[in-house]
Amino acid sequence: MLFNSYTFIFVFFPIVWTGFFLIGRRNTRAAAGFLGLASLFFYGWWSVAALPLLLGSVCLNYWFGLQVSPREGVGDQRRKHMLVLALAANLVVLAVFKYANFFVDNVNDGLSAAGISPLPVLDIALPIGISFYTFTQIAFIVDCWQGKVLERRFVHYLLFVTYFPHLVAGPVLHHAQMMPQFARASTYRPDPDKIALGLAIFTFGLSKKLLLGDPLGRAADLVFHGAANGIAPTLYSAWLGVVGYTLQLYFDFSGYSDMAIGLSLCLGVRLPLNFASPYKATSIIEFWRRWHITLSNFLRDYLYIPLGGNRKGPARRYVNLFLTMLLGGLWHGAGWTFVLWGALHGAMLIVNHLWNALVPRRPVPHRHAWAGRLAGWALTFLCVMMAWVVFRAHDMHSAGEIYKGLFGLNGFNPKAFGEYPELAFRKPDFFQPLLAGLLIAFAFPPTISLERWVPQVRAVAARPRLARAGSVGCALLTVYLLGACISSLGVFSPFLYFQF
Amino acid sequence: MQGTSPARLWLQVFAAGFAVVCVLLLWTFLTPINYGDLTRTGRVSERAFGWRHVEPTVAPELLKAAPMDQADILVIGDSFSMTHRWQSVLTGAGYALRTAFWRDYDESLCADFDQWVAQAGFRGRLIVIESVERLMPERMRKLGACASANKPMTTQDIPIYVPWQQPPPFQFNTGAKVLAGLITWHNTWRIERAAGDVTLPNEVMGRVVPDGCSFFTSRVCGKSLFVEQDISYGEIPPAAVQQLRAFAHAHATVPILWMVIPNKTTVYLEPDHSGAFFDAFNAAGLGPDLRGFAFEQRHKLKDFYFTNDTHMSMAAQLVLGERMLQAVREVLPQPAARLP
Repeated sequence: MLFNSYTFIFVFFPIVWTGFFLIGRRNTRAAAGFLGLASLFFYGWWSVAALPLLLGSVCLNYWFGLQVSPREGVGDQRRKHMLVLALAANLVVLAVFKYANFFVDNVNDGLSAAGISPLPVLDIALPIGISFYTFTQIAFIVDCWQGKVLERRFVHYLLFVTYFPHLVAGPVLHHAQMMPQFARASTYRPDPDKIALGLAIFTFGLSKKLLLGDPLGRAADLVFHGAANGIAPTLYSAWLGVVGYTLQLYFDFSGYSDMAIGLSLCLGVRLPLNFASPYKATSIIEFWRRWHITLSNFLRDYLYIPLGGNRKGPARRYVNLFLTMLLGGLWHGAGWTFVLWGALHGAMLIVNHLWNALVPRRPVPHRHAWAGRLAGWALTFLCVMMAWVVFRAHDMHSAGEIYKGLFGLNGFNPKAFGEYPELAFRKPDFFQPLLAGLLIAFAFPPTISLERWVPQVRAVAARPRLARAGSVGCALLTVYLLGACISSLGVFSPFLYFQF
Repeated sequence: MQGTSPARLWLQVFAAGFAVVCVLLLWTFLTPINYGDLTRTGRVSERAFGWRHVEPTVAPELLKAAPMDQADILVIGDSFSMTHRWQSVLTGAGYALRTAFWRDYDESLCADFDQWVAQAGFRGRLIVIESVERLMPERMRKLGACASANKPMTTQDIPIYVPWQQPPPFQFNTGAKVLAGLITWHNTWRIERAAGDVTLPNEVMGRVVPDGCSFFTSRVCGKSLFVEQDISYGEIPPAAVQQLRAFAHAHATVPILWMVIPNKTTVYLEPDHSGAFFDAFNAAGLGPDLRGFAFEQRHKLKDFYFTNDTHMSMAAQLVLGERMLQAVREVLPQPAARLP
């Protein structure tokens, strides 16, 4: 079930929302259980076959969590062994379901080069959301081992892992952010402020996905599919395709995150921020503080720091940084394009850190500071776009074709998308969202800043009539956007990050 | 409102707006999905203007095109030829046909027409060039003006468009925009209410058809939908006949039979549209008199043209096929003998 579907908006969410608060008035634990069951139903709607794996993973990891927690009569050595076992079990599950065929494909390439008959390809479907729920649970177990986990009721754990707003595409949640909220009685009472803000954030997220991301994606698909099918993009089309994809990915994924945050807020639970206007970043370091923030934090806390972080000298720091990004790339998908994407970002981060270390910061006159920031922003945006090419491309060859197009090596056609025999969209339906998307990505604040506008326009809060007019205006704008989005619901349009 | 908290006020306005969206959406869901091109583009109700009859069945083997190198007749046509319905009558009579479409070649036939056809592998004995009246001025402007075709001829075995056998059963209209139900109702109401003609978006017109209920099976039968382009694209100039003849002479390797299908507006409302051209065309004997044929058949066959569409019904296309068979036999009395 997609957030952007009639079933979700008109049936599932209203029923769950009503049931949650009705049950919560009498029994908060039962309400949490109801929400957990609803989340499992939501997941089962996607794939009943993958449900046992999710349930098995939840139960086993909860048990591991109990086993690795410090308690009397159990030695550290035994807990450590159990921790290793728990981490290995999670990584093996992830490896089998996500990376087995990638491994087999690569082995087969080697075998066929050596003239040996290949291994059979495994018939394994990627269970949706496996990367997200595996990572959240690894964090839980590690924190259990460190004795940081205080709230450990099973129903809250089940809800933390399966909580439907984040289950299939994040944000990557941390138990310390979530489980205390589930334990709080006030969560189970409807709060009009949160509901209004939640509805607004959900609607703006839905608009980002449907009104901007999807139309931009049609041009990106044209260029990237074309490159995979032998149509080399010329200069103009290549740039339009890459800029289109750059914006599509942002509006699709940040739109999904906004929707998750908004839905959760309607249920009284705050999810962490996942995007903070990443395309405004003036350096790669800053980009990763603004893009997929919850994953960046996870990789920092559970990979980069355990690897040694910056505690073992500059050289080791750069190696750790590179490895973290490499594995972060592989987390996104089982393919060499993702590995290369991770490696590119690892390399860019190293260069950025080296620059910071080697080029001393000198005070710049205020009137010149903007030029430096502008140059930093332009270079960062360009580097990020270049890296998205390998992230999106079907394979290395088609990525190469796109790069050639970007550098003008496939020629120039002044007509946008002129090299493609048929367009499945009208050009204004691409260029209009493109301009709007660029404006929003570069000039508008992130969606979370709706807090300043909903339910009340803070700037005019002291003037009652104006404040009321502001509230009515914002509500009308929100419902208008929702109507426009609902108009686009007739087409199946999954989120890009579901595949990860 | 004075004592309402900002959040409650916000939620009240949002809830009211959402209720309106829900009502509009439900309205749209219950509005039948369009199955006519004019009801779809003009956003007019199928309940009011949808045709209500069962179309004749055609055996699938008669709808399949012959291989290019075995075809007796090559058809170059437009949407009136996309269902293969009129061609099926000729196929049933033993002729082997294959169809290409104007739209694939920028609506133009170029100076290298003979070579282009030969390169496609056609070795038959007759070419039928079909065009609807309203697109003829544009096609005449381009006829023979280009030196060579923009690409090789490509054709396919099965019809591009599979028509409805009968009006489709009701389905929830989940693929439409939220306002579709309201707009459809409003447009339909405008047509029904007006004493005269009504212009709708996308160049669709609702027009009064005298004695319309003897022509159409739709619930609203005194009026029908028409495309404004039938008029706005202008009449075919009589001089076009000379151009057609010249093109046929310039490409005499295979005889050409021209097939000009009159507009729906011409058939029902403005019989004199392109009148001088049709008179000259008939006198020149370049092809069958399909205007006269349509004037005659509209009285014999209800829904000769669909009321919700710019095209003829399939029943009408089969009758058209009979007329074309007659015309083809005058040029090509017998199909080529083929091995069993």
